[in-house]
Amino acid sequence: MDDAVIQKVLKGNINSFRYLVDKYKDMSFSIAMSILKDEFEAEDVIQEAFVKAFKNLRDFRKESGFSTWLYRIVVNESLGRMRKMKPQRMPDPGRDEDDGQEYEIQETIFHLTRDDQIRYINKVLDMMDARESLLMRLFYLNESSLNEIEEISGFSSSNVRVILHRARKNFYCFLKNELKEEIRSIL
Amino acid sequence: MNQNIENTTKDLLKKSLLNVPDKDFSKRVMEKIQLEVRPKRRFLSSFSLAWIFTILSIIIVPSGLTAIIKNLYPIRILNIGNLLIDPASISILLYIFFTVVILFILDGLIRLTFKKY
Repeated sequence: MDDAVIQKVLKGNINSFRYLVDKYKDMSFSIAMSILKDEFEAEDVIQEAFVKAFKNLRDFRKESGFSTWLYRIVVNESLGRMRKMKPQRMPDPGRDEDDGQEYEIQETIFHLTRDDQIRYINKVLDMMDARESLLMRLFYLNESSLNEIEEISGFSSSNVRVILHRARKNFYCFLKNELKEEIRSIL
Repeated sequence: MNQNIENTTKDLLKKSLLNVPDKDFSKRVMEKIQLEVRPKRRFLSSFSLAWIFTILSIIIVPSGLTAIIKNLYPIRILNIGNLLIDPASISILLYIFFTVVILFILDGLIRLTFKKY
């Protein structure tokens, strides 16, 4: 479907591009938020990314999917914007090496309402390092393959695996800290 | 990592999709794209006209010059003020001037034609 729309756009039907904007805007926003942690900046960046994607649509080689190509632009634009922004100090998740913590947290979080789950998960991703939350969203939310993640993020294969492993650990460490109160009330 | 934990992590992260806050986001993007495209379209139509007029001038101007020179042919020397001028040298100067101008225009047009948009 994307290919047909791209062909239409290239033939001059500019309004068809809206289909691609509607389809990918939320994932693009989530990617930009993973890096920038600021709604206003993230929205501005993805707007720029869509315009850039439109302008360079002729250069899209179809070696990868359109979404992979677009998300690569979003990541590049976000990283460029992040360099201009004031550096933020990320909180330390703490060194919790408890391998069983995932089970404990899962028990707790699934007792919460869906809205609360969403709130906690996004809060934790917001607290995490940009690269870690980016890879978590790409791998688990977008279900991108490791090759696609390499292409989108520009990290090497070994880096992707290392960051993803650390990200999973940190995600549960942060989540555990956030859910402390909830855990206490359940116990 | 345990497959169960992996699946649950996926279940949790599936809830991390963030919606763009602005409801008119797509509309704004399309407006911005239209603004980018409009000058380009205008430029491309002017660009086609530039090619047409250049080609026309390559055809018409030398014919016009030839016609003028033929009319002046019987006159060996032109007396303008106190200056005695040979019409043949004027025609050569005009041809050189015209050739230089056309070469400049063609150079610009060819560069623009092969430029990527």
